[in-house]
Amino acid sequence: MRRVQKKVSKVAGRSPKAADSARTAADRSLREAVRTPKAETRTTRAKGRAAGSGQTSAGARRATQTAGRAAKSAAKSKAFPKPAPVRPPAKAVPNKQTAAVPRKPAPAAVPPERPVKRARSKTNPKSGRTSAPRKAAPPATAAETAALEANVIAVPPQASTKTPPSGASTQTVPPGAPPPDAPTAATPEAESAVMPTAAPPVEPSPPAPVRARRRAVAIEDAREAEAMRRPVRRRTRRSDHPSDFDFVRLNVPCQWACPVLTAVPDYIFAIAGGDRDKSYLINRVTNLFPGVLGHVCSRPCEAACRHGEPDLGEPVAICHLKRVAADFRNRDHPWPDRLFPDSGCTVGVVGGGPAGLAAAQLLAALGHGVTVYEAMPKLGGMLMYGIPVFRLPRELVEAEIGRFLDSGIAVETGVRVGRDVTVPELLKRHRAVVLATGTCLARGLAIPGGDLPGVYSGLDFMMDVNDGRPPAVGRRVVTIGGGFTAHDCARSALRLGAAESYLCVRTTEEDLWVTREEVLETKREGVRYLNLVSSMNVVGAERVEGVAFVRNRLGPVGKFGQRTPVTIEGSEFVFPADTVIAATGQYADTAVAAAAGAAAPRFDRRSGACDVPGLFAAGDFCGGAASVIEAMGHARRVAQAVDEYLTGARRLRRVVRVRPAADTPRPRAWDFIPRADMRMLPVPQRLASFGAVVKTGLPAPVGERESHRCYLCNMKYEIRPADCIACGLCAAVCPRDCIGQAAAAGPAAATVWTERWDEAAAVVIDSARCIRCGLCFRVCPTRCIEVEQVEVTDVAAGE
Amino acid sequence: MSPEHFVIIGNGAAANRAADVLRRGDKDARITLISDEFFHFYHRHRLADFLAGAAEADDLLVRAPQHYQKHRIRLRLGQRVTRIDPKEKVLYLKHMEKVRYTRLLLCTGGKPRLPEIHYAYRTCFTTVKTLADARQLRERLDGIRDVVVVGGDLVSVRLAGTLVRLGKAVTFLVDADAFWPLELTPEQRAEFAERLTRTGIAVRLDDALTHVEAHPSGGYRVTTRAGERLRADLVGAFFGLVPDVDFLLGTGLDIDRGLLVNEYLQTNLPDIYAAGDCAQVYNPALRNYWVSIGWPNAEKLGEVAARNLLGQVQAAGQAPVRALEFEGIVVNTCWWRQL
Ligand SMILES: Cc1cc2nc3c(=O)[nH]c(=O)nc-3n(C[C@H](O)[C@H](O)[C@H](O)COP(=O)(O)OP(=O)(O)OC[C@H]3O[C@@H](n4cnc5c(N)ncnc54)[C@H](O)[C@@H]3O)c2cc1C
Ligand SMILES: Cc1cc2nc3c(=O)[nH]c(=O)nc-3n(C[C@H](O)[C@H](O)[C@H](O)COP(=O)(O)OP(=O)(O)OC[C@H]3O[C@@H](n4cnc5c(N)ncnc54)[C@H](O)[C@@H]3O)c2cc1C
Ligand code: SF4
Ligand code: SF4
Ligand code: SF4
Repeated sequence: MRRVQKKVSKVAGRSPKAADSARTAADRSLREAVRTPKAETRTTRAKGRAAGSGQTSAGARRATQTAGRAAKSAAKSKAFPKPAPVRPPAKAVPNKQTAAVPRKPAPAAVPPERPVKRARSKTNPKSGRTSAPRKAAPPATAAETAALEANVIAVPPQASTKTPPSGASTQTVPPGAPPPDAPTAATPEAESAVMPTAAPPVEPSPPAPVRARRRAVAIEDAREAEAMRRPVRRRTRRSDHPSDFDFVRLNVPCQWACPVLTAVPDYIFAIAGGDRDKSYLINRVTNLFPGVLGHVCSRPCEAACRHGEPDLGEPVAICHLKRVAADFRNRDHPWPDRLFPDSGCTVGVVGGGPAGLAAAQLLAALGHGVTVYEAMPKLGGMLMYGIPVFRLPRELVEAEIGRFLDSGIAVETGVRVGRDVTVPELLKRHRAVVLATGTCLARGLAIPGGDLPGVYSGLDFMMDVNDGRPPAVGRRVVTIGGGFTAHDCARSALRLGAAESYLCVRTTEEDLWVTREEVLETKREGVRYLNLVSSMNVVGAERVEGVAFVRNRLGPVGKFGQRTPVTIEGSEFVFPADTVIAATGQYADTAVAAAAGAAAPRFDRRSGACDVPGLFAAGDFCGGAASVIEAMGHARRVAQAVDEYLTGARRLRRVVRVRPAADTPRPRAWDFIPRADMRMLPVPQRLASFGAVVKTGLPAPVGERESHRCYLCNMKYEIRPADCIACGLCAAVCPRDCIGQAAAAGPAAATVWTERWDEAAAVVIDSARCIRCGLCFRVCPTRCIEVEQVEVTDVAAGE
Repeated sequence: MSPEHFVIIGNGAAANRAADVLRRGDKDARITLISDEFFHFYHRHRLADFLAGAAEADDLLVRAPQHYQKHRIRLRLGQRVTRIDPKEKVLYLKHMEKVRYTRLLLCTGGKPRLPEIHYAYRTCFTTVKTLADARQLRERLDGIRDVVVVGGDLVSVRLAGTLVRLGKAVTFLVDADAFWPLELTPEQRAEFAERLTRTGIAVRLDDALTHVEAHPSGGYRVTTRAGERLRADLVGAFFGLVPDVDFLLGTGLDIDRGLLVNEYLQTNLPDIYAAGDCAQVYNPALRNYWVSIGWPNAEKLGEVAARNLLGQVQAAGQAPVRALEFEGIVVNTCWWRQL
């Protein structure tokens, strides 16, 4: 986009007569192509999208939240420090996976063992069927990571029969060749979008009308001109220019929405190619627990996914695909090696939940010696003691944590900081301490009657259930709250024998933090929602008999983008109940940190630092109860802040890698595949056994088909204005009306669209709307549309 | 001053009554009705007759199309509203046309309810809400021999009766919660089953569908809770109607089950009102919200909304004749009682 802006003046001031004649002919066709109805909406579209048009349920709200977050992060990326000098390219681009200086020699047993393990991986552990990997299993450590690093889009086997063989870096679709996967008229979108000029008019049939012939001549001229002006060889570049971050923010919405910036399109594409191991590894670059998150992630990415925009169907099942990669992978992937040599510093991490473990992993990769202190007998935090087994099998948690333990990070379980050891003592033992003790205290029901027998607090209820000591529940259970904990309590209650389970929320389902899928399953199991109510007091003499509620209406939008409830006067009513579970929130036990200074220190949310030098906080402990992935994302940021504190330098640099790519390998038909439903256990079986896992996973072939749905938004189709003859063919074939005339093109969002031909300076693709179908690329007579692939990653900056 | 432009989304009972009242109250206003159905205003409850061939489409018409010309009401049929921009006071139609309004009334009605438990089988079910649905079904009738019906609203009973009379083999699965939102006692259910059986329907009392799948060679395979496996050419799912407001999510309108409105049928946004099946009205007498699903109430709410749009303040009135609470909302069920 930056480039477009620079060259606009060139286009506007282009004078040669060849261009002139081309223009008169092209004039008309572009005007036709960007006809009023399409063009009219363009100006208003940006607004419409911002308003979150037509999204359903939680999606809409989350989208706005994500947008807010994205905006903030964008601001951050603009303030990104100037790049430190890049290391010579020969030194290979290091990322978390590359071996810079391994602390210990890699276990010698690994290489000889590999083939055996690979052979095992071919059998699908779930179904026992052979999953026939399309590609050879991934190469070992260094080579493997190099392959990951050079993660160039390769044509998946299915598509290769349809697309012409393509080189790695240059466009190889023969000029004028019919688009390999031109839309069939049967597809509704194509029907409306393909105009008579759609077929590439390379050689018009003899009786072509004058106008068409004139256009053909113009195109021939242009093609000759283009041949003389062979495009410069494009190459891979790394950029930290704000406009490139802006591009990723607007164009790869899923990756940007992910708190750990998972390379979503890359891992989905790996599944499309049948390489689930690679997919798993791409995930694990920034995410310790792909398998766990494949079960329980809150999925900010899906709320942002382009496929879920109005008229494009439903979001790609990003989360389920993560699980597909984890379910059907080789179980013995090597642990990522270190990025930096031993720093000689040690860091204590308090709390072995997702945040603590994520921080520990990154700190270890950065070369520090890490010790994790955990109060409970097992690591995992809420993954082990909060989330119920029917949503997250513990073998999986243990397996993924087991890999973590193999990495040589020291772990001390059964150590409660504050009781067995204090934070000041830890600060003497370590150069820095990260507190990641989560939100372990339940808020309870601070209303009259909240202490009656039969009232439980949600977190304690779940912890007891997960500990194998489930509390007794009555016939009619009323859970107050609408978060993960509340949903799990209401669902657990049914499994523990309740006949009726109600979930009472203060606003509406649209404002719930949990995923739509979780809401649907909760309802399916028979939990009923009581919306727009606030609890006033618990009714009962000896024990709980009911809850007095007042009805609400929706009030103004609150701090986190959710609606606030406003009570309606005179609407009180009593709802009978035998058991009441108050899952109204959790908070952090700041007493742990208070021991470090006189009062509980205030932690900066961004860096996790406080005024006690060397003391940091990460995850839920720092920002209040959130989700696993947010806790991990936060912990990674804090780990970098700790590293900066210890070394005085910012050693990881966030960059956008832009590399030339071939046209999309996806046939257009894949855009119409419906979203695959997760396979679920029938309700009677769920209720019969507490531990029966509800989501049984997508079978590998279904997962592969689902992966085909992803548009691969990390591809970038961009018109080179210098070579564009404004013929409008691209706009005519574009199925999503994302090509238009710009009066002034600018970085991504700043493009000024125009409906008036006389104001137009360039033909521009609105990448934030583009679905990467490649039709424009294939039809462009001057081949001036460039394809690139972008990716945000953190790379080691200097030593 | 340019006249008001009242835009009404919907062309059902609520919308038409509202348009008539608006015209009577304001001779100069522009009035536009927009509906995504292609057919004129018709009696939905006669769709079963249409299916049976006892009535043709024209017989279902509530009024002659000339009515609209005479009263200068602009009717836009077959046009779906996809988005509302309340700040600019603009509607977007599916074909990307913009329509400006000064005041907006939402009468988008209901859509067939699908219980969550059956969500996974949604593609296997046939529902009948509109004339278009009924037309499609009527065309398929010749190829249909076995029918399985689940649910139990009034529509299902009428349709099942019609299908039996047309010579189809109809199996009706009657479960405890089949009559949502009515809760029948076991005796009432047995009596109901008895009556259905007399008309020639094979009733499976206290049984429910647990699985359906499309068969590769056509038709469906239904598995019931009792373990019975049934073959069907058509699986009808009739679980009542719920407000059809999905396209409005994200516009800033308050939505719970339906569009949340106060007693004056005002939504939370200025100049936007809602009436009919799509509205969820707060009723102080009930101390609760209620959704009215039913023709007479739709007409009544349409009238109240129109009066409020005209500036005459009128409240939506008393609690419904018969109301039932379900999932915390009260549904008016007067017409379910005609069982
Ligand atoms: C019932 C329930 C269901 C949930 N479901 C989901 C879901 O489906 N999806 C999702 O994304 N999120 C879910 N969450 C939220 C998610 O679990 C948390 O956001 C996440 O675990 C936070 O990670 P954390 O590492 O910050 O804290 P925690 O996971 O709480 O980990 C804190 C760790 O610190 C340890 N600790 C505490 N005090 C001390 C001490 N003094 N000394 C030493 N160790 C200590 C604890 O034992 C624990 O292991 C759920 C939460 C609950 C309670
Ligand atoms: C088969 C059947 C039988 C019934 N039998 C009876 C009965 O016997 N007794 C009884 O009292 N009730 C009965 N009902 C219910 C009754 O028909 C409804 O309660 C009544 O029609 C509600 O009227 P309404 O104006 O609120 O909405 P509707 O009549 O549902 O009209 C809503 C209109 O809005 C349109 N619309 C929705 N969204 C959009 C959009 N985005 N853009 C453009 N247009 C849109 C729809 O196409 C529809 O035309 C029956 C319903 C059905 C389906
Ligand atoms: S289509 Fe694929 S790349 Fe695009 S937003 Fe969705 S998951 Fe991400
Ligand atoms: S990009 Fe290519 S197809 Fe599009 S207007 Fe320019 S020259 Fe024509
Ligand atoms: S790649 Fe994008 S801009 Fe090009 S035709 Fe497809 S949707 Fe339109």
